[in-house]
Amino acid sequence: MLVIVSQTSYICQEPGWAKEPSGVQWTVEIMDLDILVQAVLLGLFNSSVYALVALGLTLIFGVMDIADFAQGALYMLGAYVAFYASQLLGLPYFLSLGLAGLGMAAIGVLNYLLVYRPLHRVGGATTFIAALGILLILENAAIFRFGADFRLLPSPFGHAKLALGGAVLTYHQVFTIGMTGLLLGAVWLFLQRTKMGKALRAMSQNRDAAALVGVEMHKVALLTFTLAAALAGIAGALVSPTRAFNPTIGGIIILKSFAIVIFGGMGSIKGALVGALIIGLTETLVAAFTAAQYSDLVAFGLMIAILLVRPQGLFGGGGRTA
Amino acid sequence: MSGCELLLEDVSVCYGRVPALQGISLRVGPGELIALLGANGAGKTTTLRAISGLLRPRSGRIRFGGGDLARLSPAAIVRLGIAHCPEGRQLFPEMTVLENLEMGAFTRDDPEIAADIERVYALFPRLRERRHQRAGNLSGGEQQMLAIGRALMSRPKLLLFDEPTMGLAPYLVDEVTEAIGQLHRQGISVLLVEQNVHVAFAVAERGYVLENGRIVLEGPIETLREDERVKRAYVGG
Repeated sequence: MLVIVSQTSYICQEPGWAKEPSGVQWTVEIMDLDILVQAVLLGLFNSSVYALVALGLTLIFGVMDIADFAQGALYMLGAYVAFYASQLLGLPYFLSLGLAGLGMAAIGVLNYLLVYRPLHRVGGATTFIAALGILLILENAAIFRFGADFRLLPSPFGHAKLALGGAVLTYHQVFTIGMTGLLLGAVWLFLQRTKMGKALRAMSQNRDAAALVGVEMHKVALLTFTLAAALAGIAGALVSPTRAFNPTIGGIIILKSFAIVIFGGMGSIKGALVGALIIGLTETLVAAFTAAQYSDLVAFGLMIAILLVRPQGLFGGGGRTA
Repeated sequence: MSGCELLLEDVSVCYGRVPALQGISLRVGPGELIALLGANGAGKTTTLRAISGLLRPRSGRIRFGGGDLARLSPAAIVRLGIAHCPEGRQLFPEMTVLENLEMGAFTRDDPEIAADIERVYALFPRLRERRHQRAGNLSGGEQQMLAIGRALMSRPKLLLFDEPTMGLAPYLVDEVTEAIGQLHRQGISVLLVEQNVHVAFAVAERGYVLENGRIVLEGPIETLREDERVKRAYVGG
C-alpha cells in the first residue's frame, strides 16, 4: 500500500479519504495527529531536496548575480550518475553519491569557465539565457543518451521503514534528511569559519568592497560554482531511490527552487533554507488536509502573497544577506 | 619610503563612450596628504576607482612604487599597499564589526592581525564596544570608522579616502578628520577626496582641482583656498 512514487501521492492513496464527501468526517480527519506528523515528516524530506538545490542557487546568485537554471540539469544528472554507478559499475550507493557530487562539480566548473565567465562582463540577461540553454542541452542530451523512461534506483536500505508514532518514513527518506542536515551544517561551518567561506559571504554582500579588501573574485566564483554543483548533484543522487526520475526532472526542481530563492530573498542563505522548509511543508500539509492537486496552488499562492508584502523576499533586506 | 610614490600619467577613463577622465596626471609623494577637489561629477571617485583597479583606464599609466597598476586586479593592488576607503562606506552589512576588520586583512597571513585589530580599536574605541554587532546596524559615524579601520587592516602605504565625512554630524566630522591626520602623521600617504572643503583645507598639504575630467589647478593648499575656481567648485560648500 505504501508505494511512494512521489511524497504526496502516499497520502491521497489512503483509501477513501481524499474522496470523503462528508463535512463531519472531514473535521475528524483534520484532527488526526498521525496524518499531521506524517505530513510534517514528508514535508521535511521534501524540504531537504529543495534546500540543497536552492542553497546552491542562492550562493551563485549572491556571488555572481546569475540565475543558474543549469543547476536543475546537474540535479538530474546526479541521479543518473548514482544510477549508473551503482547499477552498471556495481559501486556501493554511498560511493556513487560522492561520485555524483564530484562529477557535477566538474560540470559546474566547466559551465562557469566556458560560459558564465566570458558572458558575465556582457551583463544583462545573457547569463540567464545561457543558463536556460545549458539546462535544455543537458536535458536533451540525457534524453538522447538515457531515454525518457522513468527510472528508480533500489535503495541500499531496501524498503525498510521507520515508524515514528503513527507516521512512517522509509529509511532512505530518513537518510536523505540526515545527509541534508550534515551537508548544510558543513556548508555553514565552511562559510562561517574558513577564510574562503568568509570571502564568499563578503562577495555576496558587497562585491566592490570584497574586491577592495583583496578578495579574488574569480577564485570565489569558481569555488561557488563547485560547491553549488556538488550540492545539486548529491541532491539528485540522494533522491534517485525515492522518486522516479527521467531527464525532465531538472526543469521542475529548478523552477521550484528558484521560486524558493526569490521567496527567501535573492542571495540570502537563511532565506533559501527557510523558504525550502515553508514550501516543502506547505506542499505536504496541503496535500494531507485538502488534496494533492492543491499543493502547488497553495505553495505558489503563499509565495505570491508574501512577495506582495515583501517584494525583496523574506530575508532580502536592504543589501544581500549571506 | 621612496617605493610608495603614486604617479598618474595622462590617465583617461571612459564609461562606455562617455569620457569621465580626460588625461589627468597627479602625484602623491611618500608621506604626503593630497586633496582631490572638484564638483560632483568632476571625476574624483572615478580617479580613485581607477587607482584601486575597479575601473580600467582607457589610456595612460598609473604607477605605484615603480610598477604599473593598469593591468593588475584590485586584489593585487591591495597587496602592493594601496587601500581604498570607498564612498558610502561599502561595508559587509551582515558581518560583525570584527569580521569586517578581519576581511580587511584578507590579503595578510601574518600573526600580527590581532594586534592590528587592537590598534584600530585604540583609534576608534567605539568599534571595540560594537565588535560583535552587525555592521549594518551601526550608526553612520560608526560605519565610517569601521570603513577606515577595515582599510587600515591591509597595512597600506597609501590610503584613498572617498568622502569620508559625508553625511556625518559635525562632531563626527572632526573625529574622522583627526583620525585621518593621525594616520598621515604615522607616515601613511593619503589621497583624500572630500566635498567638505574645510576638512580638506584642514589636513591636506597640496591639492588638485578636477573639472569635467580634467585637472584645472594644482598647488599648495593655501593657494587653492583663495582660487576662484575652487570657490566655484564648491558653491555653498
